[in-house]
Amino acid sequence: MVDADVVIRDELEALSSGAPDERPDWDDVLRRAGDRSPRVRPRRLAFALAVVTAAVLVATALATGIPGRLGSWVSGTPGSPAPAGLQHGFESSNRAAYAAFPAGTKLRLLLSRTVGGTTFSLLGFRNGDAYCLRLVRTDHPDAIGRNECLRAEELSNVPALVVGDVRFSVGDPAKNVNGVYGFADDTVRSLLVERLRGQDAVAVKNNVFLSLRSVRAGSVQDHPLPNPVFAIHARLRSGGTKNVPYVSASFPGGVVPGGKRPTGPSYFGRSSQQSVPGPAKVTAPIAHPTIAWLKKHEERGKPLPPVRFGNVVFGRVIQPDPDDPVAVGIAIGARGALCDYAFAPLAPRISGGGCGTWFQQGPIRLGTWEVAPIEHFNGFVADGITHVTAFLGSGRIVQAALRDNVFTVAVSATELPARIVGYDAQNRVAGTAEMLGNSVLRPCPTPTFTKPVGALPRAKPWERIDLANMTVNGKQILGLSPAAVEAALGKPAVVRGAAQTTNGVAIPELRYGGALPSSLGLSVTFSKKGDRIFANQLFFQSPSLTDAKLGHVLRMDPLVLQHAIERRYGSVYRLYMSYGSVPSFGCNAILARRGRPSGLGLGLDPYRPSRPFLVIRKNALG
Amino acid sequence: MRGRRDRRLEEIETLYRERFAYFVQVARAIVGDSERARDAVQDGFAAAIRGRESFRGDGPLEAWVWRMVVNAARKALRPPLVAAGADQFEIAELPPRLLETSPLVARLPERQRLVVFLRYYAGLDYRSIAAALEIEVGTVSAALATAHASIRKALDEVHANG
Repeated sequence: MVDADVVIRDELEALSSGAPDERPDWDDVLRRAGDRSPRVRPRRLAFALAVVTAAVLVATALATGIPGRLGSWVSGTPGSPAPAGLQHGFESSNRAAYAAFPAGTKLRLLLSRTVGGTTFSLLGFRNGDAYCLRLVRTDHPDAIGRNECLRAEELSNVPALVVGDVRFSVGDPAKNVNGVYGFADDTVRSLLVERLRGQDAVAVKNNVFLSLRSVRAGSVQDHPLPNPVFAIHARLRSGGTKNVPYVSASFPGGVVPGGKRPTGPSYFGRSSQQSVPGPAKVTAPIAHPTIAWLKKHEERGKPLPPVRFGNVVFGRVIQPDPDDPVAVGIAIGARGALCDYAFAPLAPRISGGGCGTWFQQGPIRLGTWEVAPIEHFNGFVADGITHVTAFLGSGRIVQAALRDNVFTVAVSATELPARIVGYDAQNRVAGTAEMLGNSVLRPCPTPTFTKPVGALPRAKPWERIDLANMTVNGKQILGLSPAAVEAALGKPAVVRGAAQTTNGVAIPELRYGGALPSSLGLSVTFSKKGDRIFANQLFFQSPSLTDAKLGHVLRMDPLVLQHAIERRYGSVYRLYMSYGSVPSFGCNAILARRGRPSGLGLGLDPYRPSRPFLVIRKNALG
Repeated sequence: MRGRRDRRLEEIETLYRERFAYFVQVARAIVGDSERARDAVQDGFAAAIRGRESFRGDGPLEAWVWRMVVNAARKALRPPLVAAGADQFEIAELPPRLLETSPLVARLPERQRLVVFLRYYAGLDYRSIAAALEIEVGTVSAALATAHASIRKALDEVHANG
């Protein structure tokens, strides 16, 4: 007799082995969530540094192909020796770090800036052929800070390059400090850092720059509009300016073509079908990709530190490049999954990672890293792959470090898309993996209306609104119970009884005018507070929606509608975010009700421009 | 640089990154194909992010997120239900891949199938499964016992006929 347990496990394993190797996409989750909280650094990790062998800023720049470009570094003594506190703070953090720089690394203080009452120090050091920057709060010298490096090749075609975008939370009451820092060569006099609103000119000192701004943190219901850096220009000593390639760190970010300020409502859209360079055809497939040493539990590299989530059966930490502290954890997890773990630079523990099937998409399995100006791709390759190469959209080709089936390679985000290619000992292509290109700033589309207003059906009760007092059919709907909403607006087409659940309590959604998200005219959603369930949002996309004074509001271009509301109801609403003015928020506008937390949202899904929408919210900014 | 107030977000993200494949597999067992399964996982985690402030911490976060994902998968499977209740467990059309590779598990009623997946595939304990599916712990136990009995019976039939 076969035990049912065994059968179940066998069947589930069979199902698992036939499943595609799904890759997570956290950015997509956040987009779907419409999350407006300050960007949490995706824990695709940040070990910054493609660095580190020798420790001191010695005059080795002449050997790296950068002579004459980073003059102050060629001399070996840019800036001044780091003050003792900053040096000791770094050493303290470095000693506790899993991916650490060599002991004895000496820092130089390149520049300091005080922003919002907090002073930040930008420190530099060299290791091997890498140029490294450490940004840290001067009053927290032993914090992890941000540590990034680049190699000479990455600066070869540009006058300046951002190596890190940063966000610090400081002070009480809290303030957010955010900005960028990086390298600039000898031809650059200063940098012009453009934000969505305003711009900052920052001087270049010791071939580095630092641009920071402070803004009050605010609260959920009263937070300042994001004002991310979206473009950077280098002002040259010879006169004129050059655009500095930059992938906006706003969230979700993207590339602003030419660094030109948007002229109208914009959003970051999918990148066009940019071809990915490098060989795409596998000429020497590996029939049964595996990593034998891992399966045999050979103790290579270093032991894996404790993992917060999940059960690791066996794991090790591999440092592919002996001259570079970047390390990746490789492990066999529960039920035989293959797991990868990453380590933030100077962080004392695992900072992120994931488990999945072994090599379902071929003999290259990508790992976990952080979305950052310098991205540190890593992953695993199956036995039989002897070298790994990255072909970048910029045309550059970079050799990855490879050891014990783990590879790492650092690439500027501006150079994407990319293809990672694994070769066997005969230089045949054994496997490839693609890295997508960046999103691109695009203008919000003009809405497309097929039916003239005169041909629209007469507005139903739930399609009659009065923006002067946020009522529907003459009644205040926000705050009502589901039953009271039905009593006020009539029977809905669909009641989704458990559209969401909170602590086990089903919270409904009422849909009027259609059943599907694409066809409904009004969706009423609810919140729960204590035992009370109440309407907190009315989402309209019915073309027949009619305001008492403005008429058919959803037959207007959203920007026209926004202006109309400002003119007609200026005493009721204040404009919080103009339509399409924050590309990372898409083609949307927000108007907050004066003196109250409620307000309006309006906009357009760029991928479905036929149905603009209007939202009445209990919490406009929440 | 991680804000303290976003610690929950980080926990959700860590869970996502470390358990993504498991979430997709279980969602696939519900909806039947990879594309919709992946979509459901993305939607489920998005819902978890939106609702993270409502998580009281009186149970495992993972179980709470599983509930979001399972709900999202169910929504992806079915057209909207008129006045649907929270406890809908009709048998959905069986996913072809599930039928092919896991015929005995696949033929279990949906509730048992889900419990089996969450227990054996996702590795959740009884309490977490109960929280994820919004059912009692006893129901989890009963569902597993019934699933075992069904599979044993099917195996006995196979052996008897073989």
